Amino acid sequence: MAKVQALDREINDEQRLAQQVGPILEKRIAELQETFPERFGPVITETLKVQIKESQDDVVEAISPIITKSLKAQIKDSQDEVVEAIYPIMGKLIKKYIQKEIAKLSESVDARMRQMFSFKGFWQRFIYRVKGVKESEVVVQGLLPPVLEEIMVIENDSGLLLANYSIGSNTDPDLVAGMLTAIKAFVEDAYSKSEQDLEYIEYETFTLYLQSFKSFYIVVAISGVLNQAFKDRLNDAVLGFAVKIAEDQNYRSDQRAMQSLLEHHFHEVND
Amino acid sequence: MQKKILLVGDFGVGKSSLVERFVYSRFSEEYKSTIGVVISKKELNLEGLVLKFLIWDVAGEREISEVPASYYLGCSGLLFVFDLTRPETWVGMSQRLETIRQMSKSDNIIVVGNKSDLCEPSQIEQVLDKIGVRVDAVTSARSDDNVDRAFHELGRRIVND
Ligand SMILES: Nc1nc2c(ncn2[C@@H]2O[C@H](COP(=O)(O)OP(=O)(O)O)[C@@H](O)[C@H]2O)c(=O)[nH]1
Ligand SMILES: [Mg+2]
Repeated sequence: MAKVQALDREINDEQRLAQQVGPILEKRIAELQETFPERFGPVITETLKVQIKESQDDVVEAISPIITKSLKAQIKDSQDEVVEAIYPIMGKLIKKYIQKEIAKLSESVDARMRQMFSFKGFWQRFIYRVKGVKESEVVVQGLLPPVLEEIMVIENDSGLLLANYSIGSNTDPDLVAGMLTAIKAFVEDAYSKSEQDLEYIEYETFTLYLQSFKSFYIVVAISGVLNQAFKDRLNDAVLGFAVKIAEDQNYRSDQRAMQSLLEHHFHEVND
Repeated sequence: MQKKILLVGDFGVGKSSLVERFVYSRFSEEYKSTIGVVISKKELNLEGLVLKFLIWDVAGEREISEVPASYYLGCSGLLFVFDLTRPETWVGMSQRLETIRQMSKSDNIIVVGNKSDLCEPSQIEQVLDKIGVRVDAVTSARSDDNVDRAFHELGRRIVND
């Protein structure tokens, strides 16, 4: 009887603990999920996955202890430090790396949590929140054909949106244009020695291609997997559009004309 | 017509709170440090002319001189915000304004003294006397005092530029 009671108490304690810790953790995770995108704007979290060139390995190695440390601290505290730590080196810092660290962290939390509780549902929600995607989506990603999702023509310095064409995104293109310009500026500052433009950014199932011209740049968002034929059509469309703009300065002051030129050049990219 | 504007000023003077108040009509007590840059959008109606502001609220604990130079690019005007209750946020004001003018290549700078709700009118007078530059607006993001006016003033300056 005493044994049963003890067991009962233990189970109850565990559940109480779960009830107490669960929401706190959930809240933290939710904050982690939410504050990143909110503060960086909708794109940045997902777009930090700028490709690391080999030469950047040193940088990553140098900052990794800081990041790891602050990432760990942040589960307990707030995430301000992490983000502050990331901020100055954002240009060189890369989602791949952050993702790896977050994944590692979540795995260790995972393991610990699994020992403590056996709420399957809770756990699954947790994983989905950390990853922000459904596993099933990740699996099919590799099989998707390429689709042109969105094009933005953005003024170089100000980041103001000059024209855009979208097949149904619900993000505010004005804000995305501004945020992309801020990221681009950061990355290019970081690479200024090699005078390299930021050329593409990957996030989740999307790739953003950036093409710079004199006074504006063009961002093309593509989902699925790129093939050569699609690439060729896309390049033709981008160059065709840019040439027209360069030839006729009037487009710069007539947003509506630019808009229809954009639609004209890109509506055939998705066949 | 769309324009990029920038908020600058020391950490904690209330830049993000002013944006929050202006764009979303709310104020949050909770301390928040702005990370990187937050861009918000708001349309103003200036005597029939609709002006779309893209507002860059630049981060954090950095000194004004540490705002990445590229963030100033292409901006049509700025709000320079200081905290009426903290002298260190407005000492050497004219020098700082000059720096900002050079960085931004813009003369459309609205000088804003924020947190008026924490001051007696006489205290505000004293600060304005000491500061040595023209203060365009005395605001409170908290009690929604003059916030709209400050942004509209900037809008008017940009339009008349
Ligand atoms: N009393 C009062 N507090 C304010 C006002 N504006 C901002 N604050 C507070 O000052 C702190 C810093 O504000 P924040 O907007 O983050 O400053 P920022 O660093 O310039 O963006 C926060 O705790 C705000 O709640 C105001 O008008 N009155
Ligand atoms: Mg702020």
